[in-house]
Amino acid sequence: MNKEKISANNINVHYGDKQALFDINMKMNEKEVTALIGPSGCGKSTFLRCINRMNDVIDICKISGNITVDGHNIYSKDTKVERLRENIGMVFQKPNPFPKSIFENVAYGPRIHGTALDKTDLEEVVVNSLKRAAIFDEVKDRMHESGTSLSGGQQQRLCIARAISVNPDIILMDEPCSALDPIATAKIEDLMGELSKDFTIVIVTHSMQQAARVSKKTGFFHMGYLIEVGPTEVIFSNPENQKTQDYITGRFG
Amino acid sequence: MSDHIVSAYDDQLNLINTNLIKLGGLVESQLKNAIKSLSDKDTSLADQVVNDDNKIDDLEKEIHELIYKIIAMRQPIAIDLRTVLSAVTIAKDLERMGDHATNIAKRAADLKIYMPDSPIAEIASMASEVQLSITKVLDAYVAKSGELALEVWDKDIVIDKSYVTIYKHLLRTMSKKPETIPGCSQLLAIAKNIERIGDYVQNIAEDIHFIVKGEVLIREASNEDDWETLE
Repeated sequence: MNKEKISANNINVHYGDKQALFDINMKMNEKEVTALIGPSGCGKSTFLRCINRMNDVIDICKISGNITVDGHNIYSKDTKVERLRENIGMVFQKPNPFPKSIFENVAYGPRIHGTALDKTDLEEVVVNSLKRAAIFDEVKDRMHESGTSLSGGQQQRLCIARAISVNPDIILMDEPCSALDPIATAKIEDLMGELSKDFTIVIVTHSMQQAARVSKKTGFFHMGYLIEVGPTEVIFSNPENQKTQDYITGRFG
Repeated sequence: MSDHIVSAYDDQLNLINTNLIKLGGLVESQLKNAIKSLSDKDTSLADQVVNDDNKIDDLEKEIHELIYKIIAMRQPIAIDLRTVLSAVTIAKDLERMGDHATNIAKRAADLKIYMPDSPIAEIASMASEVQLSITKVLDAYVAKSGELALEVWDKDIVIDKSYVTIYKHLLRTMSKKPETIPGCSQLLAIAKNIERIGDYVQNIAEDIHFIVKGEVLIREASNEDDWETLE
């Protein structure tokens, strides 16, 4: 088994008076895909957003507990949030390329974080990121066209290229395929398998089949609680908890 | 267990379930009639058993089609997957049990051969043990009771012992009265058919355990070997 990369310890999240997460304890391993499943409003996306402190931007959101990445508490005072988000990339439900050229979409991160040495280095980073996101062959002759001119599935792979261009350790994906057709979905899933050799991936998905296909570990959330977490093959074949079984077999939603 | 959100899914699962029970019921009555035809020397009843076997074959095919459809349409997982996968093997096992009942009836219909009465009575009593196990295993299936399934599983040793006793009895009869050899050979084969039906019942009990517990049943049968005392 791969070594532990992320560890969430007693995470409680409140949005104003409403508690969204209750005492979440969960560990995610390095260079593995971990899936978070559960019905809408169960807290899985809130939990995902705790991992790169995306919830910080919501004023009424209060978080207690801690999350460590490589043993370092990301909620400690000495954590630089920009540096943290450089290390933890994110891909969203709806592909959101910048209204810039394909090249610029991927070059943006290395440029603002200053990770590319010079123009040649930057070009190399862009090409490499596009290749690793399995989209280079489709865009190599149109690098200066707008990112928004691509198809939905291509846009999502462009966003993945953008996320990995700053060489993060972790990629968070919040329902990355829910706006895509089955072929584009299959391409992203295939890509996730490839990317998990180099990155730790945490994915929130509404598709249980997708969680079963792509992940090694699955956590089931319900009403703010982490009900069950374990090897994906166990969760989808013989889960311990009745709620998990009812949810995955389509008995409540 | 609560219902699926998609009620058509439950309808499909229930239909498989009902048909399996129906198949089990057919097998029960086929075995009962086969043994009755033997005890009563009723050849027309034996012929009826042989003819009715196609009902079992047809129903098994129907169940397989339903299973094929539900897998393609619903992609069952967890307990639903175990239920559907086990339905395939249970249907197959019931169909084989039906074949054994037919085989008994075919032998019973052979009235040209003299068959001694006393082993027939023993065979009938062994068959009623198996009948009881079939009924219980079907009950265990309906109730999804792992405990009842285990009880049935353990009962197989009693059936095996009856078989050994009958075997020895027939062997003694044949050695004392060689003229009974043709009839006793038929009875020996009939007893073996019943014993095999008992083994299929045990398979079904294992399937029920798998459905309920999600793991393959590992259980040692008690290891007394009566064969050693055979003369």
